Amino acid sequence: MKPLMICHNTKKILNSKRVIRGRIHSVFKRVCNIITPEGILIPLISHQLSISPGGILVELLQNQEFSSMGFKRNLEVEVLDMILRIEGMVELDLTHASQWDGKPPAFEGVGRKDLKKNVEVLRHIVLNAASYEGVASIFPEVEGSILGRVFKEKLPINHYSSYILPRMLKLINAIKDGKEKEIIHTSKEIIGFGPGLTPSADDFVAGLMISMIYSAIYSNVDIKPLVSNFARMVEEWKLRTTIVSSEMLRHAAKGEGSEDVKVLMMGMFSLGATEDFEKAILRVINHGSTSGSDMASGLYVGCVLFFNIHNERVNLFE
Amino acid sequence: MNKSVRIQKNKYYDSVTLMLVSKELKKLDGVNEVLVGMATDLNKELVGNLGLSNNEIEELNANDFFITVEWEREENLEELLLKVEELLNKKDEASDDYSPATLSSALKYMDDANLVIISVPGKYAYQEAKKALNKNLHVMLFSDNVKVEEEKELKEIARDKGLLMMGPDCGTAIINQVPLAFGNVVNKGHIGIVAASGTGAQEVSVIIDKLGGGISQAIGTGGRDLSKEIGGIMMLQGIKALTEDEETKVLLLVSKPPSPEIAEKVLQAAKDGGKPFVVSFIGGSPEVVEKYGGVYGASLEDAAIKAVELTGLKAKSMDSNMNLEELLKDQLKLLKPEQKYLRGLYTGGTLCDEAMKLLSKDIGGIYSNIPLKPQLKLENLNISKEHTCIDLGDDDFTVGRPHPMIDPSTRQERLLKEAEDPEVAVFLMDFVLGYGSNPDPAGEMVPFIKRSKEVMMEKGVEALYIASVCGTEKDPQNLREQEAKLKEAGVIILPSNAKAVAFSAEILKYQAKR
Amino acid sequence: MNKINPLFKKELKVVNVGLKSFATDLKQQDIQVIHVDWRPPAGGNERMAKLLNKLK
Repeated sequence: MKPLMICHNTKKILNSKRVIRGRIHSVFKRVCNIITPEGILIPLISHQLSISPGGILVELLQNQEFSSMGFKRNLEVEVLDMILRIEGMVELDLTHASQWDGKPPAFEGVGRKDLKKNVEVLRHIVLNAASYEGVASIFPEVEGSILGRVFKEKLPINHYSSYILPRMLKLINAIKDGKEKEIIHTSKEIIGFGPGLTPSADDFVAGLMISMIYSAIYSNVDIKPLVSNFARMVEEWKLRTTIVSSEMLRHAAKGEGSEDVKVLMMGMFSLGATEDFEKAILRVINHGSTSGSDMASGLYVGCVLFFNIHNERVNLFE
Repeated sequence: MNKSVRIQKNKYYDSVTLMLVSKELKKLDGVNEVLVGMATDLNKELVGNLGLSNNEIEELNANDFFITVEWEREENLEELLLKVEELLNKKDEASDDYSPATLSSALKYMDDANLVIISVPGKYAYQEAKKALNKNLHVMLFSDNVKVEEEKELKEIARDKGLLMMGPDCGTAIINQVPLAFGNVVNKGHIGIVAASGTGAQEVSVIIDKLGGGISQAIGTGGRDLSKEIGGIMMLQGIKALTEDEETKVLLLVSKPPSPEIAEKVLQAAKDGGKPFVVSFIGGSPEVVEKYGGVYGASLEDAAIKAVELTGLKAKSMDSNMNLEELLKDQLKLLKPEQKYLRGLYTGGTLCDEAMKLLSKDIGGIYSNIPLKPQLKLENLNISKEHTCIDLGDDDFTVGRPHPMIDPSTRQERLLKEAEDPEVAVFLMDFVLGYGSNPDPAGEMVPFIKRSKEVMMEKGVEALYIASVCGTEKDPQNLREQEAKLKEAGVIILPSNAKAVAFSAEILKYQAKR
Repeated sequence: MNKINPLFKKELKVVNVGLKSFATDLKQQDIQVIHVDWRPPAGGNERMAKLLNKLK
């Protein structure tokens, strides 16, 4: 096992003290989460996946998995002078891992026409390739409500999506109005809802936040009000969801997502990065069983919402 | 109505596992509702709304995991819990049980993959195959119902990239000794096969094995490769590759008779390659093959024998301890003079075709769903008449059900029906073993053979059951065991389809004169 | 560029798209195989499937 990349925030945290002791929080095939006493989650991520905020990307041997390598919940983890040790099993020297930053980079925006095309591509792919077992299928309805139109697509509904739709519409309206109180109030009925370790509704909201922030950067609109509202909302309800999910939301509120999400967003908004756009969407969608689809659905809606708020819908969605 | 709840405190499962659990439980009989998830407040609320909650769930927190199920019958509970256990533990199995949803994501997990087997419905097959070729992967395309233009495009892409594009409709290949899709486990050796027919390839490879020879590679091309439209692209490439392959000393080409210009092209390529080659254009003529210096195989068996001999081996006898003349005499005694007809019930299309071609010169016209001449097409495919040979693997019989090599029910039913006809003298059958096929084709058929005998007995007649088993002792079904089961049921087993056909021909010729 | 003869010298590593039994058979023979849990693209909507494929 070899460290390849480390999230710069994590590096900062680890550098801030000589020793940090934590334990293993959860183990999956391709992710092993470490949790610090302060409740910060540091995922060790197999190179087969893309790095995500807070994470350390490590190279595993072919077919190797954390779950079959003896990684177990509650094993002690120690990071001393940037050397990470897990109870005699692993020693990772993190000093040479390259730094990764999940936050939206500065970019030169694509032309309006290309953006319109990209947004449509995202919509088509979400519509056709996403899994609808979480809440992803609410997007045509949400979109319709934002734009005041009725979309003919009828996607499969399930308990989760029918339950969450009216609540999501309320949150969307609150964001539209930019009222912090309302945003916090309505999101209580959303965060932590749905199947999965990161509940589906959280994935959707994370996508929505990230996409709105990228949209704002693209449009040269100050992101501070958005970021502050999102941060408040996420902080307020972090105990209503799983730790893995609240960490995801915390990052997403700053516009930070996994490398795949970042590539998707850059493919959509930035000049000269369109080549892998479709693949990036599919990679995001293929993440987890419904997580990626829920997030992609949120990414789409976030963009629609932002441009609607800023009165640019005409050219984008006709 | 019952509720069942299973809880694990502070337990984390990945979302793929959770979704799998929920889906699989829903499939169980009597299960109405399943919710699987982390016990967040809102999830608990949903569970409550659906009436699936209880005190235990109420007390959980966001990092606990729960499954709650509503089911109708109490007796399911145990099954249910077992299933949950099994599903949750599944994730601990090796990574190769991970099934991504697309080719691209599969390649993330196996970035050094070199071959893709595609068996999706025909209308999607082209796209999937194209994706694979574009990623520089060799393709075996099992799917049929692919358009000719699409096939041509795929094969041209493959040719330009130097890749295998086996198929569409390619049922069999053996690459690097690995049988793919429908293939038998055969000895390694020096005969390289290029075949436009799946069962054709199976039959020659199995016979080569029985004769003591072996295979270097068996490349499938799909049935349409030697048509004018496709122009034999894959066969030409296969010939080239085997020509350059050091392990291959002799080439064996198998196909239905191709269009003449394509045949000449293919034969020219084989000749240019400089290695000895045997050609079995089932039912074709020897002249054109010999003109190009090739050896002509009159049947699949004949082709296999000649190929083995060309590698310098002496072919082993396949039926050493059988006295066919004695057997024939014995068997003929069982038949009444009015029993004159053949009923061939085949699962392998090429074997059926070969049977008709070899038999026609001895017994005349044979009705079929895949007749040699249009006028011999059965008016009603479900009703045989006079001599009839049926390919039960043809589309006519496989709509909405698996191929008869996998699902024997069409042949089981058909045999019972044929037994109603007291004029039948011979039931001729093939049993195809190997990977892909039914795990026990002989065992599946035996009870129906026995019952059909009873049906005939009631009419005071007895028919002969003649079969060949296309397989080896190394196949998962094991040739010897399969043969033993059939022999037990009174079936006469011959070591090849050609031999089974020849034996049947003797009987039918004799009966015709009575 | 001929890639067929090089294949003959390599260990076979298979991706199986479609019928699962083909993958199971290969696994039984200790051949490295990964099975793709294929679903019709665009939930069976052909027009969309074509569109998606153009995108890819």
